[in-house]
Amino acid sequence: MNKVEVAETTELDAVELRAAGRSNRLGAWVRWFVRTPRVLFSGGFILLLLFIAITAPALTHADPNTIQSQIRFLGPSSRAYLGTDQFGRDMYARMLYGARLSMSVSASSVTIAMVLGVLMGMSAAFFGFPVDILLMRLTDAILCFPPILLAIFVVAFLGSSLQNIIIVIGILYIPQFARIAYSSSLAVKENDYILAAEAIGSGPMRILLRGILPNITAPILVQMSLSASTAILIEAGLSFLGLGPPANVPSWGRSIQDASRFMGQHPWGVILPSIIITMAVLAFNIFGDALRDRLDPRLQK
Amino acid sequence: MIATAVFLFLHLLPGDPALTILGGIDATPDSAAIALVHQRLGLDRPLYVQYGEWMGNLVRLNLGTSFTSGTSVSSELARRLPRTFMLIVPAEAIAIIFGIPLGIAAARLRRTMWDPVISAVALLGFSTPVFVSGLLLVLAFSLKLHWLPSGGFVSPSENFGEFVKSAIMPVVTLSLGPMATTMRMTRSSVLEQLGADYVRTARSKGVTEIRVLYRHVLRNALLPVVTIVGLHVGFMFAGSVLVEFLFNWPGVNAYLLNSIGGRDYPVVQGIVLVIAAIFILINFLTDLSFAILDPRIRYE
Repeated sequence: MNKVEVAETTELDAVELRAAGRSNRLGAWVRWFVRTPRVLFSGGFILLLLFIAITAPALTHADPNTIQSQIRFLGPSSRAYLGTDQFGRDMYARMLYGARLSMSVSASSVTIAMVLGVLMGMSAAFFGFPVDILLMRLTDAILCFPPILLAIFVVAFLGSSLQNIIIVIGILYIPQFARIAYSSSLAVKENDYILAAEAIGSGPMRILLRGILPNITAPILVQMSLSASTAILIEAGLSFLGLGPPANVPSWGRSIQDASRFMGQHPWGVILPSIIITMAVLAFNIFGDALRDRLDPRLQK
Repeated sequence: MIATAVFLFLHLLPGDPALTILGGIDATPDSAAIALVHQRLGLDRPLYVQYGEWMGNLVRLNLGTSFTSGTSVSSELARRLPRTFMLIVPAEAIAIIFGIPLGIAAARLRRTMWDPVISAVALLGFSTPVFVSGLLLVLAFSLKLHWLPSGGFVSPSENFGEFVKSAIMPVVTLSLGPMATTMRMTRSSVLEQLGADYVRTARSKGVTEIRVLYRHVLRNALLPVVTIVGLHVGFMFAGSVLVEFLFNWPGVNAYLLNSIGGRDYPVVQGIVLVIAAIFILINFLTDLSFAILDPRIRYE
């Protein structure tokens, strides 16, 4: 009787302690977020963009594709908060829906790259020869081409649907994640607890996902933020070249391209989307940098 | 191997060049005309015959002739590649000439109010898309101030002054991103070396701070900076696609964009192959130069 009671209390304590530890860590993250100015601004802007991307239709009554030729080239006013473009389309609505495109392209492509890249990198490290040679050579092959060239190439031949763009950018970023996961996993794999897991008969999937993965998340998170910024750049670049998603999907890059022909008379049409793209890319870069400073123990002195 | 991948990729993709040659997607040419075009371009033969011919020509540096214009791909590339390098090489030079001193300055000004300012500008530099900085330059210097042409290309052998004028903005646009990364790399590399033991030894010997920095630290700190030239190659080619499009510069990338639109297989194959080859060559040279510059790597 006594023994059981003791066991119960210690188990309870352990659960409580773990919960307390978790909320403490969460608290530390929240404090870091709020008290580091650059994190607050960059992270805040990213959250704002995500919020806009999700709720775009609720934030404006204007349709981003409605052409109103009588109100072309308006400056910011109460009629159209951010003015209108060369077709009299509402810029505020176009920017909101552009955020939706940018965020969905970068979130989905980075997720594809992260899942495939990390799986490839971890398996290469864990299984060793010949899996590692095969997988890592495959990623090297992707690195042979300048990224945007490969994207142009694929999109031009397969068509520039949203789906294709996401898949192409996703594949382009596999090598970065694979390399990071590979080198981090090589170090983690040597730990005794991996040996212990093998000794008690854990399968490879379990070791990869429960033993190795939790210990290599830090560099992967940093890479996700940095890749998200370049994914936005590639999508905007493709749209700028006219190889982006179809014309009825509002896109920041396309807005710049459209407005650049009328830049002499209406520079605002170029300047506004330029500022927004740059801020979005900057936010992801700053956030990634700050995240690395916090997560990389070598930098904490 | 790359050649094989490019070839298979192109020929297995949907889309028929004959349709493009016979006039757009809307037109519906009869099947006899399509067959004729196929025959003339050699597209009716089995894939392995086409492949064998392509590889055979490749060994003799013959990249075939364009489907649409009938000109030789090799000679067209020979004409256009220099124009692209006229943008890339000066841009890289500017990036290094300005990036390294700025990085050293940022490292020396650490813990002053200037360090975050310089770092922020650098971050802005590589976060700005090339078409954004390019368009803003056009807006300022050609549409408002009327100092420089907004685009186009003048051959340097015809009129060197006009050539320089037409090249300034594309080159500067292309150099901003690499300049920012060079600066950041130099800064962190110098800071890392400043913490090393030999710096403390030098200082305790009474070597002046300037001498420590330029004679001791820079020699070691600039080694990793050399490798970024290799890392820039990818950025430069990516950037030059957009810059050539923006400034109407008739380089390799403009040729590529046109040919992709027209499904001109030989041209696209040729360009992708050449760019990938250059890309790999420069990455290899970077690895090699690192080994030459750093004796520690050679001896391992």
